[in-house]
Amino acid sequence: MSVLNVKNLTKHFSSGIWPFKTQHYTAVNNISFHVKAGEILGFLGPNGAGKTTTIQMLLGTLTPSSGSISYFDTDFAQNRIDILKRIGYASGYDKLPARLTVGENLDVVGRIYGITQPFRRQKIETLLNFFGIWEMRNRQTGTLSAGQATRVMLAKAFISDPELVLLDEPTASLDPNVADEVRHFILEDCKERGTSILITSHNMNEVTELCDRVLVLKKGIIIADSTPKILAQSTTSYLFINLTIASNLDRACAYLNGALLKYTVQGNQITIEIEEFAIAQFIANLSERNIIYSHISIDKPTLEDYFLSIVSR
Amino acid sequence: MFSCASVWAIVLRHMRMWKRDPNLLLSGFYWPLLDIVVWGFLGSWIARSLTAEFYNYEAVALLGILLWQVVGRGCNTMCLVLTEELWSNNIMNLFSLPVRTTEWMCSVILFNAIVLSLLTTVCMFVMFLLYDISVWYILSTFLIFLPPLFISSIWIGFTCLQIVVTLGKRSAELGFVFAWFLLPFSGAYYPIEVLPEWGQTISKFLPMSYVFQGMREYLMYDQNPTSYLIKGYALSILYATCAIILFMYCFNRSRRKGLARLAD
Repeated sequence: MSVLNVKNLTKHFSSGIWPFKTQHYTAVNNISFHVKAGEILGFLGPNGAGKTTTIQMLLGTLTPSSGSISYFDTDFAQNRIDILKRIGYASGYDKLPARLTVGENLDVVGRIYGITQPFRRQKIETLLNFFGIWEMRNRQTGTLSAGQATRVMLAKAFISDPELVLLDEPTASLDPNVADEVRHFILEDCKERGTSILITSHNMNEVTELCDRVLVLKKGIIIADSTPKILAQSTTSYLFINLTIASNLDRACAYLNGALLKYTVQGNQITIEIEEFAIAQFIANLSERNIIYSHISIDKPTLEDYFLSIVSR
Repeated sequence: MFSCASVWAIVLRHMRMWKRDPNLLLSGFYWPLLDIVVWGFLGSWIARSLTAEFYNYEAVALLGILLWQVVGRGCNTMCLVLTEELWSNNIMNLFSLPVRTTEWMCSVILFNAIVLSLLTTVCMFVMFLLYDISVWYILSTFLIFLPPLFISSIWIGFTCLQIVVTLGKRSAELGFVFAWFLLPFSGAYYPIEVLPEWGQTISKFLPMSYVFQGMREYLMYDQNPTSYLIKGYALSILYATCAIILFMYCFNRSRRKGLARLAD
């Protein structure tokens, strides 16, 4: 079952004042996608690709020019409030009211979701403890560091036990260890409660670790929809072998030239571009020619390679 | 279904903010109290110095000031509820929660009512301390003229909010001064007859001018203010209805351009 179904979603922005309006910019251009129950979908794309515009439309804070959004097989435009009760949202770019304490802010959000006492207090305590900010419950939100504020936003997103959570760059300002805890929480929540997640991030390792599937948006159009692994492999079918040569560097270069393999040399380090199936034979050939290496590592193409390739295209 | 819990949650959010922000408390209470002191003593002096026609001018001045706070401060409070969300970059958070536009609008009106209740209570206490005037006399007269002015604060407030929700936080100042632009034509401190003819024409379209005229007739000449009050009620209810409908239209129109842009 799809928890979110987007069909032909388009957003045009126009400039000027009526009657001299000119349509000049299409932020999102006829995109369609879905999120399945329990799935973690990554939303990637360079700046200005239309990710945040899409998330704003998915939350109803921006009205689409055309197309349809339905959650849980229900039309969003007709049932916005009922659907929003089942959705969580957090963004690294938004802030909660600075003068209110952490506890007060979450209390307001809990009340709006209709969570009654004592469940509201228990839920706030559980989430603040999980994110390691329970001690800060009585501190004004404006006095928190960026990382602490992001954790409060995440607690806000999960306070109503949502079925789908939209996360816009959630770990952007977090320390690596806290970001790792957050990823762990998202994966656990997804596994235990079957929560679906739609996440935008510029951290490719994070997307690779978290996401079952990735949508790539460029200039408002979806240009790829696949798993992180397949996307990474689509960059190149070659792997990179890094060898630290202990002896016979000249002989190694002569062999590589003869085998017509692409390579680069830096000191006694050689990086060779090679297809995966040829690795075993390549290593055997090195031994036959008495080429001794002290270290070997193999780099596979990553999602980051893919991302960089589509940005530069 | 309409959620009273959501309405109260948003009211609580703003009450908690006022509790913590000395600037808000200062601007919300300092200027009205200063008006009470300055205009009250001026009224006492005029009442003592001039003809019998001005015998009750102290009460007229004090009530005029107090009732104008309902309109002016009320409008400012309503405007502040939205601009605070924009300044704190909370607009996306707020409207991505399950809050209906009507619930948010009700919370704005309720918060306005709470702030005005506190403000008028404090002002009346100061009047009781500073002036030789019966609190019950002031309170009973205040309550007669309060409802149409509270409704006026709602229509002016939502008119200001239309400006902010259309143009964003950079237009907030325009929203704040709008009510005070109407002050000279409302006849809060003086009868509208002293205005030039074009000013009197503007006054005829303002419900506040009828209410303040009725208040003066009642306090200074002991006249029945009912006919003035009816005009005040009719116009303020008509304007409030139009302002609420227009605000909802502007808000939905703003959604088409994106609520997030309002905070830029």
